[in-house]
Amino acid sequence: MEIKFNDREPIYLQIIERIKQDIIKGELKGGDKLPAVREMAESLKVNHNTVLRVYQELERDDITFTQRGLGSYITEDSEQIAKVRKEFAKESITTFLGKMKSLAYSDEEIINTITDSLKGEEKND
Amino acid sequence: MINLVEINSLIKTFSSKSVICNLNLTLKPGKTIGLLGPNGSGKTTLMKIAAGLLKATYGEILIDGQRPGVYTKSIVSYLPDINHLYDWMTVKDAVNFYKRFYTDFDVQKSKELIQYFEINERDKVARLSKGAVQKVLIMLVLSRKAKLYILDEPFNGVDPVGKEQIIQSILKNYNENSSVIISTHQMNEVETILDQVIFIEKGKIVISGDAEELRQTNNKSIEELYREVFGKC
Amino acid sequence: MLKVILNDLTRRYRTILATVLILILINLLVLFKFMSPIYVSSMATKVSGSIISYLLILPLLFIAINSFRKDLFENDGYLMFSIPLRPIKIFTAKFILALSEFYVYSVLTGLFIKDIDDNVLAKNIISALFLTITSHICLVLTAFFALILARILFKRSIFSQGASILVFIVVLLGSQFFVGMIDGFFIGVYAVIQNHGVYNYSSGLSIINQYHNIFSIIYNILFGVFSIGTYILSLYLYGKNLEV
Repeated sequence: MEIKFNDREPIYLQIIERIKQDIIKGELKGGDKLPAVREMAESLKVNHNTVLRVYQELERDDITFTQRGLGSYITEDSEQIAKVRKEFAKESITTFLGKMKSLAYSDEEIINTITDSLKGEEKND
Repeated sequence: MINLVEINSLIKTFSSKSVICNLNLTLKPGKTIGLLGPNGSGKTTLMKIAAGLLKATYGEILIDGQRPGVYTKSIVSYLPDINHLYDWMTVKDAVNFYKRFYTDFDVQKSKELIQYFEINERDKVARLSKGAVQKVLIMLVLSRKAKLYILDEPFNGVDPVGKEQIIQSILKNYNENSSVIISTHQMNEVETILDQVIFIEKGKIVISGDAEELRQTNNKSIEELYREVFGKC
Repeated sequence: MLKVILNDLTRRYRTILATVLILILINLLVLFKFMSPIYVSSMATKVSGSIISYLLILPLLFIAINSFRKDLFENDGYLMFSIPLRPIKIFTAKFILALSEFYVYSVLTGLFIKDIDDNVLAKNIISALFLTITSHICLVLTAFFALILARILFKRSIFSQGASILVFIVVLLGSQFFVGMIDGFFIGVYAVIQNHGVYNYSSGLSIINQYHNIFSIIYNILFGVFSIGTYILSLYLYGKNLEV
């Protein structure tokens, strides 16, 4: 895994984001084993304790589960994964709406723009 | 868990100039700490005191519960900001020196690092470029199984590739019982490997804290924070 | 402690070998009459004879203490100060090495200050060696002390090494003047007086033969005190006050 970090935000959050994204995209599947802390830290070039924190948070949020002595695994609970997907989508939408509002778009304008973009994408497909 | 390093009211003066002013600090094992500050802020002095090369004028410093002395020298691996090897030494000679005088020197590890850094054992230290010498010194320092690694400007004179190698070797060297203190100006790429960050100016600690927290609180990278704190222009 | 000596030996073996070879070469040249020996006795004045022999020996002293000087004044001193060994062991190891080196050198020189009467030289070489060791210890200790003191006072500035030479001369002459420690000096004076202006090794030896003389007993006691004092003082300064 390679991540280009934004040094302004906590690193551990960025790693968590990336892992969640990978899960949603399907690059990380339920039951997949996450690399050992040491491996992860060395390949990402981050502090070990940061990675530890990532794993702890993922576990706390039920996104991963730990098998004693074996490591951390992505949850196989598809509901949980769906939940994460929803959360991500929600976040993106909130950010998007925030931006559009700041550009003085009304609700109707926003919906039209979205529809147009989607139609445009369909044409290109 | 006993503190690996404990510094209480440390003061260091040279002639009449005070270089370290009432400094207090505690460090736990298993941490990678960045010691950041402008030139002359007291970084090197602080490191030398911890390494047992200078004596504190007032105050107390304890490494693993002991005052600097023979024991602390055996558990502290110090990378000085200058090349301290004998002129006539080849890399192999330097390894033998460390092997002879430090019981915690891991020869196998040194061989791995020599290979990783692409160093030639038979090269004379005096003939190597600045970057190459730096890698040799790092190899020597990291091959010891010390409790505290003190690296004074480890990226001095090293090209970007070498810098990445050194960062990797520091990461690989991690273990939960030892800590690493790194002083550097070049925060780029180094930030992410730091647990804690200490900003020091004129012998006093200006900011000290968890790297991630500082990022979150200030919404800045450590490098930007540094410029904000120390940039007076 | 042995480790330190070994380490320094590997560091210095080329210098030591070179010096020894040069000295042996000079001896061979004198022996086979390619070179004339230094007839110190041909000097005009009575006292200068011993001074000349000192001047000859000083460069050798400098060579012997060079390792210690480097440790104090050059970057590689870091190595010696960083190793987890008690200062007393490091200091003593270096002292023993410097002393041995210096002694070997000066014994080799003794051979080419040629003697008029070779028999006397051969007979008393053992006692000569034994008794001159005291002056060698003194010289080396004083040199170490001078280096340490200069280092502490002047750190590593330009004149600190020159200052150490000054300190060395001052302490040496001072000790000679007040206590007459360096028996070579007095032996020289004695010998010169006795032998009508001739100073050479054998006349020195004949003085040594009068070892039972109370004069020399006092000297040796005082010498002992001076040496031990210098050793302890140097050790204290080395261990406590050196700033790298």
